[in-house]
Amino acid sequence: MIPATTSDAFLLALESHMRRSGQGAHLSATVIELSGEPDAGTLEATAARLARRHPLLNARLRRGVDFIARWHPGGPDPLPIEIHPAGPLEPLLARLLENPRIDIRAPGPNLELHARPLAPGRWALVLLWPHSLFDAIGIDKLIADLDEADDSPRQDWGETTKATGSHGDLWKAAKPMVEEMRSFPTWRIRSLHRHRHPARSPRFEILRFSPEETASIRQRMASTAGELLMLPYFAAIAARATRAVIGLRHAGDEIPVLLSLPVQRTANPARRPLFQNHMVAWSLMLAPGDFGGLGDTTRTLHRKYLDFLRRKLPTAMEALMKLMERCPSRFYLKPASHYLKGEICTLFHSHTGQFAAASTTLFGQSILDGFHVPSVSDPPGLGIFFSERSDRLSCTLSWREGTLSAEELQLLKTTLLADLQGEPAGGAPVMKPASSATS
Amino acid sequence: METELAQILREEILDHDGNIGADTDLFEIGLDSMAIMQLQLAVEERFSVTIDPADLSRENFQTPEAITRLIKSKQA
Repeated sequence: MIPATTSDAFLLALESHMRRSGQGAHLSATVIELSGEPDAGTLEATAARLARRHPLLNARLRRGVDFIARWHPGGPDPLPIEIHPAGPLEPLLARLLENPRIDIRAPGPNLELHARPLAPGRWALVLLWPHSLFDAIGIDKLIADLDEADDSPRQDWGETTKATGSHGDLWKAAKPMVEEMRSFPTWRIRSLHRHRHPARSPRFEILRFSPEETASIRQRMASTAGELLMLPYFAAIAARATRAVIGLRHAGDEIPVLLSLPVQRTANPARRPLFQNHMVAWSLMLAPGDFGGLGDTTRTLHRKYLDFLRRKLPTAMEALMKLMERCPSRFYLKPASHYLKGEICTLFHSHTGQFAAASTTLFGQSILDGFHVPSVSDPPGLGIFFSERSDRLSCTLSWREGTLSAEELQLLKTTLLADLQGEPAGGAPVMKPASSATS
Repeated sequence: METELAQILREEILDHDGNIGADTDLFEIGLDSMAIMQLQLAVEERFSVTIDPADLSRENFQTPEAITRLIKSKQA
């Protein structure tokens, strides 16, 4: 048995909340676009090798009598593989996210491999995975591992938190974060969650930008906020777009934004295991007065990142997560939800940087593009996720059916694109991204 | 100052095994947006300077030598 990390325990609580409210499992799909055509034999051999090599790919997660969640490894059963007929990607992704074979509570696979030819000489490998077992860096490492010839079993898991000590020590260390969270209700936090509306199917839209558009977006970032402020810049863009939608829904109200930002504990990916989650959630609050132009909002958010670090709140958050690891999943989110009147945060957001930076080829074929499509819980009902591959920026908008009306989705995209690409003179519509498709 | 900076980068920020010299390209060994913020804070605390957002340029953070120049200009 392998103890869940403190981050796994947080993700388990989120998944528990999703299941209890009819939202299903907390899954992500990772898309790797490759040159050439899919080869069934190669995929089958890869899936069999992965199952032999990594016992956690057939593990289930459950809490013990001491309430600590643990992974219970299973046998090397082959992982599901399916080669789908040629066609568009988005309907396949929607179907996979809604009807997975993965269930972390039961013995069975924790990874599905799907292939779909997209066009002559181009196909997509889709990895479907549970968020409790992997994070984005882990998936990057798994992609590199797909090409390994070695099938000897590996123990590529383990905890990375530095939070240790007695409950008293942990509480003392966690207190600054608890005090910070107690300050959030000064503002009425809202998300796109609609109270008294049941959460429904996962929905997403992928905005993909060409290398030229991506270069222009980077140039705009450099001139608006500075070339090195990537994290606060994209977080500010996500916050402003979400705020525009909430402002439409609650006209006249002051709209704060509480961002929940996953930050890796380990700077060097080589120093962390492939499996399990190794993130700390940073909660950064943008009060209504913090919003100005995009450059101003970015600089304000940059100061908030620095302040979060200066006050050692990441360490406090780690201690809090360690304290919470024995908390039954159904109660885990209750304190935050109580303080925030049924909310968790305004949105989930991340920019995971270069997608699979260590890999240029897979199965002897070139990696042409890649991005993630995470499902999100409701509340908050919305996630805005960025990554880059081969000088192409991708933005995944992920929401739950019913959390965004068609008009609100349009406003979200228009605001995002205006910030990313700028408003041309004369108020003409912003350039559409190279491609965009909705589930 | 460069040696102290290299030690901060190697042990506290980049978790890097190799040597970090005065002219090591920090972006090539993993200095990303989060690491920049950690470095900014470390520099402000250790060397009692204030780094403005306008100072956060690739040129100023490319190497320990460039960062040292920036710190000295702030201390002058």
